[in-house]
Amino acid sequence: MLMVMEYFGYAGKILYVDLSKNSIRQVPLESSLIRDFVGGRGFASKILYDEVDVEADVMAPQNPLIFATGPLSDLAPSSSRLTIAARSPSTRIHGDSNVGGLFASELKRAGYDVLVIKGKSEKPVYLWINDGRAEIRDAKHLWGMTVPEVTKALLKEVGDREASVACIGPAGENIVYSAAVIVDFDRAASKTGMGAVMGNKKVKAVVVRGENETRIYDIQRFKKAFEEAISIYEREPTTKIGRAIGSHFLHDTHNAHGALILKNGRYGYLPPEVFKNVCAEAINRYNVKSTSGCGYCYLGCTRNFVIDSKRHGKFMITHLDYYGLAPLLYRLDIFDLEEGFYNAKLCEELGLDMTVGQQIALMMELYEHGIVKREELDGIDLTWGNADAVQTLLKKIAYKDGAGNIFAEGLLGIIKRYPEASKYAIHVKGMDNIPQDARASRTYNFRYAVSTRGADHMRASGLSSLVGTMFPKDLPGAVQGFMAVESLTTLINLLEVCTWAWSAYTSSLEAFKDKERVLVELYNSATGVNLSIDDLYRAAWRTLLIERAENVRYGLRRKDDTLPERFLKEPLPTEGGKFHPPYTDLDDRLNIYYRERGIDEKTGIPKKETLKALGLNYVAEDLNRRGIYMEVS
Amino acid sequence: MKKLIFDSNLCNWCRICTLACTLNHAPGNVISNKTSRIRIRFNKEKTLSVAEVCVQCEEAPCIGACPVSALSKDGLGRIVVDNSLCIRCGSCVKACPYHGITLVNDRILVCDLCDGDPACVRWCPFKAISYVEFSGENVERIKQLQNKMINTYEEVVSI
Repeated sequence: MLMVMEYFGYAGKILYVDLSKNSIRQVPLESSLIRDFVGGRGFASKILYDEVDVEADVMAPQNPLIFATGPLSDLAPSSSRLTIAARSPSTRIHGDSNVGGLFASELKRAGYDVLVIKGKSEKPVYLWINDGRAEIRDAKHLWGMTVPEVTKALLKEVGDREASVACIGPAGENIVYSAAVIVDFDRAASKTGMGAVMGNKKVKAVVVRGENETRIYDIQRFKKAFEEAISIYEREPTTKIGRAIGSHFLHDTHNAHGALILKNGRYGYLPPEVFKNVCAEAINRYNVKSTSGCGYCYLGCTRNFVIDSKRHGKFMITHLDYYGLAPLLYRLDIFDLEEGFYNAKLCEELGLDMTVGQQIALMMELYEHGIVKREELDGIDLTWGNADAVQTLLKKIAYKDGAGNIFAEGLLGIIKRYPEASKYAIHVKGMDNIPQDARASRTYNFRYAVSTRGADHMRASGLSSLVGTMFPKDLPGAVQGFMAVESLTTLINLLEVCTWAWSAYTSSLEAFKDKERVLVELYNSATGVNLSIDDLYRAAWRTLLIERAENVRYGLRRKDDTLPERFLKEPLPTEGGKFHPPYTDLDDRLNIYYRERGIDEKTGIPKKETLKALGLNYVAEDLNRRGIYMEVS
Repeated sequence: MKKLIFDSNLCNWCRICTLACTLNHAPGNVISNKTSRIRIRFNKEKTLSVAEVCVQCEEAPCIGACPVSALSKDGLGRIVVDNSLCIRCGSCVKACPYHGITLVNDRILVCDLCDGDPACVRWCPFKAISYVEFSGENVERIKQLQNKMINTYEEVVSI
């Protein structure tokens, strides 16, 4: 007799689309997958590990592109998150990107927890997924459109303006490695080049809409947990800040710490007379709506802005957060906010992610040193602060026109072309370092070194100094504090709730503990799976290690868990002629981290016994078969 | 007498009101947009949204439209449906200018104000939905917001 599993919280199905075979099939979600990987990023990383062809080309058609929702997507407060994962073309290792908007909600309502796209279409297509039905549709008429153009056209074509559209712009079509997948007009799944993977598969968009209901295991318990979550938010002072100016308060915070990455990491601080032009208060003057956020959002980290610019006319940019603006503004030595907004607008339309700003900053430095010549740049004078040059370049990058080709393969492509760039490039594992300078906050930014997708602030986002108070006041204690934040952030990604709301905006140890407890309660009451916080943290650990194992298969080792050379060697000038010294204790921190996470200290490879203890025997055997354990003494 | 009112300027179309409504009424342990008595229609391109919900309007055209007089207002000012009389014809659904009444699974659904403590009002993070006394200076504001709900609807839902 066929057992039919009942699903609560989860939709219960994975949708597989193979573009090479023109086939669509759905498979039920296995209970072992749920227990071991919980959802979202966990599902995506496990499917990616199992299905990626390690020996094949990075962009091999058989490699999957995965869209994964979590068990709390569309259910919990601040929950509408989605992981998009694939082997990354830009970093050549494990790649994934997390995005908000309403796509996760709609995919779940349409009846699917996960969508896996394999193969490659010969002609442009888009997917239309609606209430348990999926079809591959022709997209010839949509190819070439910008993000707002194609989003509008598709909402009209499917006849439902509330459908959610995840699409690529010209950058993705042209397989530019800094291409993002853009959801609902303006939310970028950025970093790791997921837009390029989608473009390579000739998928212009995925459009989803659903009206299915979600069954809840114990609705009274769930409701109680939901109300508790809201009361935690209401008590948090950070909620008020989020609602008042969104994540844009970070411009001020990071400047106060001298942690802005200016002139490609040569400076960290702007004096008041300059900073006043780009501070949160100045930004807020363009704000036109008091709130703006994702599905079930309790904070609103983004803002909508209207700009009446002398150079560009009147334009609006919606759902813009701190990280969508900073890399395209003062990071390029641009202090005219309107130009920064316009750069962000261009990226959004072209489907470029903001990491391209950091690449332009690198090129500006190379230009300053005479390593890059004006002739190579089609005559563009790429001096610091030249907004006009940036805008010309952004278009060239998206369309792979002339000098734009220098950026086609992302940061690693630039380093390949100009080997001297390696000492200036602010990156880890090929990913541009977008958030703040690690020299300004050491424990917090240790995260850039160990993140499985490269220099990254979203892999461990939260106040490690607060959490660290639970541990001894020494270096091992500091690393344990960091790990507690990393564990919670990973769990948040498995559940697909918002990292900001559930971790980064946490203002006390008590609130951290409360959020941890309420997440478990929300999960168990919604799904009936009944996992303890320890079970959930083990799933997070499993996910971290399967991602690390994937990277190990691509050749990454301990030496790759590092920081940008500049962070390790140069002091960072900050306020009043003072300096943050270079980052010096990385190795000590790594030793502690590896020991705690069951990773071999010499090589950075997950230990056989750790993998086995986590139920990942097959991963240990896979690494063994590849001869990888010969390196571990 | 208090009334429920929606202010699109404050709405973020996060849809938490829908979740609050369906959790509070919890028909069959499911969360569903369809069985919610409040739904948010939105237009991402225009950054506009509007709620489909009963606002306990004075005119109550739904009552007059019912051919079998199954609808009435109770002490809270909410619309009450007598299911023994209701013939599920949908006349009230069509008559409501706020799209606040729906016919789902052979049943008329309309906001019941959660018996005086609406869950959507409690849970809306941005105070876009409020439950306020219909008197004094509020009267003019409520009427303006009611008109806005009707007047912006077509603009929101048009493709």
